[in-house]
Amino acid sequence: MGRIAIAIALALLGIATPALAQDTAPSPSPAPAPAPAPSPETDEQFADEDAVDLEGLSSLLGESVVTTASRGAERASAAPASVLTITADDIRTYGIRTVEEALELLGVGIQTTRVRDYLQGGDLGAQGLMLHDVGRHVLVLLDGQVMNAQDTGAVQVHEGLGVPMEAIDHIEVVLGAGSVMYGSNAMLAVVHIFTRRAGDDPGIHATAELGLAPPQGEDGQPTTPGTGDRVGLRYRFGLGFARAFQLLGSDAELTIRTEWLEEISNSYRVPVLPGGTLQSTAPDGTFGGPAEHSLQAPSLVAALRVGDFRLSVQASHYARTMPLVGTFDDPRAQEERNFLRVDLRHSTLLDAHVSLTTRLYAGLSDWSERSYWTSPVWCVPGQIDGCSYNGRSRGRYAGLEQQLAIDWNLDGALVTTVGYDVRGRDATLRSADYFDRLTGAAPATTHLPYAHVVSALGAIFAQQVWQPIEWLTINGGARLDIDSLFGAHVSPRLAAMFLPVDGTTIRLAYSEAFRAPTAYELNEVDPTYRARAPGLSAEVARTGELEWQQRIAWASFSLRGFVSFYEGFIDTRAVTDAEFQAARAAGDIAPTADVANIIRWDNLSTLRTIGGSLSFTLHPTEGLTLGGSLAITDTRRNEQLIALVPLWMGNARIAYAFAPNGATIALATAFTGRRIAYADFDTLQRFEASEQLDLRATFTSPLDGIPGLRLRVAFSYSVNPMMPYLLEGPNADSPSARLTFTPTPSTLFGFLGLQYDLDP
Amino acid sequence: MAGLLGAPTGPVAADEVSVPIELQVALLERIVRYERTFAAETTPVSVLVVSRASSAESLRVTGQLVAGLQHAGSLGGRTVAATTFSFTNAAGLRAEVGRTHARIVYLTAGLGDEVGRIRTALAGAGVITVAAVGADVDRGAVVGFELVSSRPRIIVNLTVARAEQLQFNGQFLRLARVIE
Repeated sequence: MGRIAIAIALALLGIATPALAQDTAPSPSPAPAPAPAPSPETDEQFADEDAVDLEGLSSLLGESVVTTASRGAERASAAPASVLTITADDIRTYGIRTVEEALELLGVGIQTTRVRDYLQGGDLGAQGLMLHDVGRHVLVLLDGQVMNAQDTGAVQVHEGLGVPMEAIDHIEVVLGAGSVMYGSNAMLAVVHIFTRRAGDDPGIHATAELGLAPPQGEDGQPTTPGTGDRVGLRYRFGLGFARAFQLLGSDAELTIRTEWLEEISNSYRVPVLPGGTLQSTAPDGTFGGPAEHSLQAPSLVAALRVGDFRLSVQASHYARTMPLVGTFDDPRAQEERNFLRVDLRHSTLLDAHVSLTTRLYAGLSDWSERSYWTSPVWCVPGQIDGCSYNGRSRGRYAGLEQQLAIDWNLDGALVTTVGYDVRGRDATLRSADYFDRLTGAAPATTHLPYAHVVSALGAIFAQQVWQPIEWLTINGGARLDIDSLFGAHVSPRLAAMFLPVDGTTIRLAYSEAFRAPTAYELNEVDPTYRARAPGLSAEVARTGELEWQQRIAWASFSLRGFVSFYEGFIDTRAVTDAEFQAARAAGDIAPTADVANIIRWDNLSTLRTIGGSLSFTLHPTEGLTLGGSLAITDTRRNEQLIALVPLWMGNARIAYAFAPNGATIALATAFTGRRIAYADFDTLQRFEASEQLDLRATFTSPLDGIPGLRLRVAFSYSVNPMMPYLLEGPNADSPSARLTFTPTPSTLFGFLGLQYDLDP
Repeated sequence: MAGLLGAPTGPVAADEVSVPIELQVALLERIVRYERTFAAETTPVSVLVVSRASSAESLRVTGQLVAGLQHAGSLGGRTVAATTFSFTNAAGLRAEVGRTHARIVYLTAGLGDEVGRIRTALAGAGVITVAAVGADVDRGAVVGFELVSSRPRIIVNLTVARAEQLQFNGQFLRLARVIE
């Protein structure tokens, strides 16, 4: 009972006192997977349990083996960075539908938003920083393949990620700078998704899921269907196959996972606003009313392993209409992303001490966005009836990476890792095509931007692990990236891990990371407002952190603090007269453009973050799991708090399994404190978005009578349905404009899923 | 034990790793406490690490095991002495077990196709065969290790254990994947 009381007290602390905690912390270590109960005969034979020693064993079994932080297998407590692990079991238990939801409900100090309708939607942050940048500051990997688009740097972890959820075995989240091993984009975190192998679940797998969401009123609360207000439908079908076999005398296995996801959303009412900056096709020029969207996201992940070789393929398509971008509820406004990635890997031992891994990889990405605008203000000269905006970027890349690891004494006490990565990239960019809204004609006097950029990246990296004494390990490394797009950058890391007693880890680390300007940022031009930004350099992050991890058999927790300095962040500024003249001479901006309205990217911002986090996982009694995290950060730019980052945020969860591999009931919550709302227009003052609380209840259970069939039912509710993005607010042109936040499209939803695993 | 930090030792691909050897040794140190006969004895224990010369992976695991066992110093509270054996045939292994009085036979990698013969040859020897590769437990080793969604799991082949008169604690078995 004592354990239960402590567990409940900690869980309540997690929910009730968010202001006490801090940002970003590492991995709780959940209980070992449920095992089949031994036979009654066995139990009767051995009643002489030694509970203390079993606890020690349980503690060992509860710690994850991670690979992302050092590019090699190691216990999470030995990793040179904080690593959080989210398992497939967690994903099923807590009714998780996307990686984004996994990070929100189960992560530590990871910020997500469900924004979709806000220009290239899908923001992702960590370390007290979330920029409206489509996740460019977080590196996402799928079995070692980079998922960030090579032309734009963008990555989405919602439905647009393109990975079937049933393909995921576990997710490692490395908090903080990760460039020492992975180069650009790994500034705030590395999210590494590992897929399941044939041995994990051989056979045929089928998934069907159906979700419903009621319509929402202007306040974001659920309403009943009626005129203009419809119920939303979301369904998902998955099919998988996995089998191990012999091929050419070698062990082989094939795994294929596919998924079709489609959503025809509920209607969500947006307050009716006067025209002005917002666009409308309504006769009275207003913006607002019932909005709805549709989404399609088919995806495929496949891997063929033969001996030491592995061939992996990922392909996906994502398309979503954007009713709040451009003219209101225009079904033609849409974002599309298509990906194809191929990775051929060979891993071998050159001798007992030396392992060599070689990767050949290539990929294609295609992003496009289209919206319609009625006001000529947003269009190029001559488009008096309005225009359609089209942005597009296509990227291709191919590369070779090799990594050599030497375990000098075969005891893990002295391990050297060296490697290199060379990559060629090709980007075709059309950042702002404007066509007449009614005729589709191209502008007569304005040059539409186009760029074709071929670039190369070369990198070398090295890491040394040294365990001079039993309770101390030192991990030092650096990576040099040379990129034809911006120059060169070195990313060092030095970490010391102290293990004073069993189950206790103290980690002290300093690391640097960077993000290279992408081909898109260097060449983004919009004739109506944006000039080209040549000469951008890399953004740099410097982070120091201190963490205390403690594990016992039925509990684990982590307390982590950090301070980060970010320099040279790419932001917008007004152009100078000289830049304006140059842009006009080059035809980058419209002849009628006013210098006062033209901006460009530049390395401008210097930010400072101080933060910390507390996370815990408890297993007070058999079948019961509690967990949670609290994070506090203070991020400032020129002593001013920045938008989108709350002072505190966190999550909490509880799950109870009635029997091993049996029915489970779970509740997960995520909460976020007040934060400054983001606006892409100049507001007269800064506005705060309210606290947010998301709740999700999930029931999963095998269905008796049909072996292999499992049921999952979940309900989700967002207490505050408004997201911290302003649709409209007081500004210089409209001082009395109504303060309007972007609504969460599905405040309330539920879904029912069936999963069938057939292992013939 | 606090110092067995488990530095990165495997290739980059996470899906290629199994349970790190130092973690296997740490687990084994506790597992043997739950085998009744082993726990009742107090004499030093001999561990025979079986390698296959043609497999670099096997040689690597052998080196890591010897280093790990030396570092641990004891298994289940009993002083441990590790010796290595380069596998040629099961009969030779049986003879080596007799010669060294091995109580634990640790099978490294690359022996999958021989595990069945090894089991037969060691029948009645009363040794605990431990497999560094989880799949070898299905083939006839008594104890092994696997990773499930990044977390280590113990596998116990109870059929083989019973045949060898090994008796594991029931509570311990609840933490393991049991093959019967």
